[in-house]
Amino acid sequence: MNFEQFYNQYKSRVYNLALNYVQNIEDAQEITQDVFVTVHNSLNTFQEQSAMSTWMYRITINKCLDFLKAKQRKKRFAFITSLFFENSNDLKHTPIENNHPGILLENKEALEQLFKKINELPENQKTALILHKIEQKSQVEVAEIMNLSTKAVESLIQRAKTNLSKKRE
Amino acid sequence: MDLDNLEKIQRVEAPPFLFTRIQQKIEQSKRERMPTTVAITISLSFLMMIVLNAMVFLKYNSKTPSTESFAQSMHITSNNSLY
Repeated sequence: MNFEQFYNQYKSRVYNLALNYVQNIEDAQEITQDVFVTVHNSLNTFQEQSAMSTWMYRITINKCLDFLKAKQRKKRFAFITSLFFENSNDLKHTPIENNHPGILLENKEALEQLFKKINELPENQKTALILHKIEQKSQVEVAEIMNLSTKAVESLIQRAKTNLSKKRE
Repeated sequence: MDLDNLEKIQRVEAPPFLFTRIQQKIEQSKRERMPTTVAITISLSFLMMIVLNAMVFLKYNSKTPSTESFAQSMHITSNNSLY
């Protein structure tokens, strides 16, 4: 299988997972590019102990986490600089926008609120929830991707649900 | 429950231009990556330079005579007293 065939096989999974993680088209495109560049450069290090799809999910999740951390770091230092360009009222930094293309208009408001709360969850709870609830992976599959036991995944999902319901109150 | 809304999210197709961009990034990373032989040569040169410097320093530093022994060998006094 050449790289283009490999890309065509996995592009949808990688792009959709990135979208569900960052909820922004431009960011998801950047993450998808990074994932495939990394995969291209390290295909020979892939060990067949796990399935290729599991490996792809792991790389995508790590890239999403790295991307969000870098974005957070940038945001932390943004208060030092001006928000606007010197001679105009145009914003230097575009506000964080949820423009997930997979969200239908009638669900937009409810899902935006929900994602806002999901984004406040600890990383592993957010990952488990996204993989299980949006990517429709079974707890066994989530456990394999996250390199955890099924019990641990079950507990993570339960804690995520509890935290979300606390935030709703 | 709110979480059921997550199941309503639809899957979307990756934009068609993404593969071209990935190919460009791969080419760019290939150009930026230093070949292993060049990296090894540079690090060995640095290592040799450090070792040679250390050897020269140790050799000349240990054999430099003190002021006293230098003055004695030249038959001159090392103090200001005249008598």
